[in-house]
Formats: sequence, structure tokens, C-alpha cells
Amino acid sequence: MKQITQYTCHMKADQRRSVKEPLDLSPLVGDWVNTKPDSSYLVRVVLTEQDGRLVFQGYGANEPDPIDWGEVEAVPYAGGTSLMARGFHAFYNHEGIERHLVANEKQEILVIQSYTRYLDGSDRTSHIGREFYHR
Amino acid sequence: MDRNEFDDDQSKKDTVIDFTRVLGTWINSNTKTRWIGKFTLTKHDEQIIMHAYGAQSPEDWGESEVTPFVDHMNKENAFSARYDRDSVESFLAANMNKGLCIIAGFHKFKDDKQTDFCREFYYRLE
Repeated sequence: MKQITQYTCHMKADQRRSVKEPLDLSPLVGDWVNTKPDSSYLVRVVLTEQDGRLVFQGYGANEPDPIDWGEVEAVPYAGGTSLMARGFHAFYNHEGIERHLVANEKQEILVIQSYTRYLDGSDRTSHIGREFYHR
Repeated sequence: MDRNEFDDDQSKKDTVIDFTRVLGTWINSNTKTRWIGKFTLTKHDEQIIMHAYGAQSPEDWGESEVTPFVDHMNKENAFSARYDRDSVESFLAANMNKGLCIIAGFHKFKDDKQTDFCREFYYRLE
């Protein structure tokens, strides 16, 4: 008799089949430019696939040149029940500045929400940002 | 009842909608679109003119004068435009948001009265 593994579900979206295949990262991979040239947030982000992993590299707004935040691994997420990656989460901790980056892709526009928290004793206010990027 | 600043007739009269920052060429982020692949916004005298190019034949939709609007909440521009082509009538409602132009397109086919709605995103060429 075939045994069926029961997985814990807390909502209908948890009811999905178990798959071994990796997500298709192609909807996210690329060199993305902020649609707002005078943005104060990330002016450019580069997403690459390296050995099956999604790697994020951000460039923060700065004059005269953007600041390279370096590479971090991002966690890709599927859109709906497909195996296409349609969003990701990345995390940076730079000298007491924590940034969560939560993104989704729609019609080849990348929407990145950033949640920034200062734990460096500077008492700067935590803030969120929401910006758009095109390839 | 308190007067709402958005209902202030005088402020409406004094409003000059500056479209300078949105003039230029806009590209559809959706490379698989069935509708407008790109468009330009130019100013002729006091008129703002949209020139749309479809992703499918016929590619050149021609020019249409747009009606400009401004969102007083976030100071972003918006516009509407109409196209009456051989087979399709289109009403376009657009708004700007952080360098992105979002167009809701309401399309009506003349032959069978079928309708189609799309909402697509455009970025401006630098």
C-alpha cells in the first residue's frame, strides 16, 4: 500500500505537492535599474545564478558613485503553484544596519520593498521603501 | 463641514500641470505585450501629445492629444488618452509612480464588441 506523507498545513496555500526540481530563477536574474533616477534607495541591483543559488548585489544611492553593498545569497520564492521564481528575500547587516529586502517580479518589473533598522546606537528611525526596477 | 483642500476651486485654477519631467520615450516592461510596446510624450505649444506604437500590426497607432492630470496627494502626473483605430477603440488611463508609468488600457473591438482590459508598466528611456 502506497504511503502518503502528511504535511502540516496552516492555510490552503500550504497544500502543494512535494517537488525535487529547483525553481527557475530566470524571471529574476539580470541587471535591474531603478525607474526613478533620483532614488535615495538602491539605484541598481544585480541578480545572478551561481551554482543554482540566487545571488543579490545592491548598489545604494550615493554621489558621485553608488555604493556597492557586496553580494549576499537571496532566497527565491515561487509565484503561485508554478516552479518559476517570482520573488525573493535578501538580508544585509552592515555595521549595525539591518536591511531586509523583499521583492516580487511582475511583467518584468521588479518591486523591492526594503525594511531598514539601525542597531548602531545612532537612534535613526527605522524605515521602509518601495521602489521599481527594470532590466 | 470643513473645506477640503482638494475641493478648493481657487487652488484648481492656480494649478499648472507640469509635464516636463515625463516627456520622452517610454518602454513597456512586458516584452510579450499584445498592446502598446512603446510610446512617446511630447509637448506641442500647450498640448501634450502621445504617439503610441503597438507590439502587433499595425505598429503605428499615431498621435493622440492627452488630457493631463495631477495627483495632489503625491504630486505625480497622470493622463488619459483615446485612440480610435480601424478595428479597436482604446481608452488609456495612466498614472506615474516613482519613475514608472502605469497604463490601464480599456480596449473595445468594433466588429464583435469584445472588450479587453490590460494594465501594463512602462519605464522611461534616459
